[in-house]
Amino acid sequence: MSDILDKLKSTLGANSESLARIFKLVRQIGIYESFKALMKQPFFRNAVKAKLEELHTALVNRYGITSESVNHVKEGSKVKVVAELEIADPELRKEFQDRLRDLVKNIFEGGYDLVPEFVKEFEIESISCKERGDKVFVYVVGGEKLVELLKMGGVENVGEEEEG
Amino acid sequence: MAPLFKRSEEEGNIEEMEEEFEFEDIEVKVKFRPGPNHGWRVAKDVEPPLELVEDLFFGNEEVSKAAEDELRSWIADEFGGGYWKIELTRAGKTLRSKTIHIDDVDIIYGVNKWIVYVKGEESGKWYKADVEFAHPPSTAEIIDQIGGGGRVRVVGYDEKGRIMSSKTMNINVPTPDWVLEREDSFEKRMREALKKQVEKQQEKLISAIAGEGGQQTSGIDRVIAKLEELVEEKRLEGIQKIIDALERREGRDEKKSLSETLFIDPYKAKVRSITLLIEKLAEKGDIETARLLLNEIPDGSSALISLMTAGANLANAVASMLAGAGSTNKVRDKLDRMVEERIQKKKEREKEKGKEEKEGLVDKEKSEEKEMAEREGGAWSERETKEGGEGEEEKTVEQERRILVEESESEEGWDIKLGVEE
Repeated sequence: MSDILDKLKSTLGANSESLARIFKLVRQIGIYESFKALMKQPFFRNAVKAKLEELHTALVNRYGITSESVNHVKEGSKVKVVAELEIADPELRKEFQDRLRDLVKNIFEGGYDLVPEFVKEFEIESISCKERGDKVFVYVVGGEKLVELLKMGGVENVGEEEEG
Repeated sequence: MAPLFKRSEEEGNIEEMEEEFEFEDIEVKVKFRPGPNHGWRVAKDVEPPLELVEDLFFGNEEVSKAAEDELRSWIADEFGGGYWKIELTRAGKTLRSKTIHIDDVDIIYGVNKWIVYVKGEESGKWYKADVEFAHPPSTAEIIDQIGGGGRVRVVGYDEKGRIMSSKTMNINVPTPDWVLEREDSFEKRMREALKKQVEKQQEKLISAIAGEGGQQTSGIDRVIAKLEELVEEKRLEGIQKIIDALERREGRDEKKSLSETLFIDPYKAKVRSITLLIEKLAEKGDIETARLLLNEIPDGSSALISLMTAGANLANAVASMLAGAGSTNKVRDKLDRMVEERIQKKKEREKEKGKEEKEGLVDKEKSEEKEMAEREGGAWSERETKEGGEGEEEKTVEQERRILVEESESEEGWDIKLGVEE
């Protein structure tokens, strides 16, 4: 957590006090609304976009991801987001799954600020991962707001399943 | 509906029931749809193993779950992904049904051909690749056949040309050259269209300046000819008229408003400067530069917008100031009145009553003062208390909230279930 906070502090040029204030404000207006408002600011939007692109490139290079896609399926009142990644190398495929599981566990068991709010607000029910052939499927079951969040974050065409 | 089969708990065997002889009348129907927005279609050629169907509907929870997994795997291998509904019907009536959704395998049932589209990065347009597949293409096949990757959409069509499946993905290799070429030609077309628009605007402007009643000309040569004509014969008569008119107005009304000094005068000065430059250039024979410079003459809209914005801001500031001052005065007046009333009241009572009674009155007034203070500040203090209370409550909730993580592992992968403990 301290690593993440330090990075955030250096990126935003913020001190602990201002971060605490930001967290308090985010709690008051909700994560989704805060993110939506911040994404309207070109500085923040460009920074998020650049970071996501950087992360995408790093993951593609590290795990040899040939292709990826994100879809979603409505399941009653819930939504299942499905990310499909093609990783040709079986060892890298396994490593990807293991590291993803560790990351998810660390985030949700780490007692970080805003994580309980995130789970509650986006009604996150479960996160799972499975392998089929040379593909890895990552499923996130949550509320409909989750899809909106992904779209806002620049994930294109989330919802191909809905196409008639 | 009574069960058709009953599994004996002791023996674990299927015990025949009274209705068992009717089982022959029961039909197993399989229906398919590629997505939730499609209608169900009967898949007559899909005949699942009957023992699995039996376990699915009549087995206990564990047996039923195992049968569902086996059926899922069988359908996925044989017929691909999508929504599969298994129904038990008798005389056209559905007795039981179960839907299995397979989302980790490509939809192939009912699909006749797969067509690939590639997205142009600049235009955002989808370009159809000149290739068709008779099976869902793999990433390697797509790269090989279309000559690259990028943002790719694979659409499956049925024999009637209806979309059965659509999957958009990022293929992490460069976009094919043919897409880039088409993007270039698209951009070129866009540039040409834009150029035409600019030309049209210039023509309009020149016609308006020449005072020809908006007569339209076509082609850049005619535009230049018109401009030359304008410079030679009319000597920017139209613009000069505008400047003259503006100058006349200036002379007539010497007392300038703030807005005129801030916005109108700079606008006039800009028009004058550009006009003089155009004249000079035209005299030197540099028609092309003069023509370009004509575009720089502001149409007055920017000055108007600045003026309106400044006006709106000023109005807002004044409104806020007045509202603030008004409310302050109101409160002050109210307080003054209350104080005066209290002093008056006190004096009257002092006259009427003796010293002892006066002391009693002081106590009473103290309580009155307190009451009044409470009345005045009540709303705020109440709000503060409430906010403070909420804040504390929020803090407590925050502290108490904890994520419950339940992890499970299988051969295929892992599953983490989450919950928030309050």
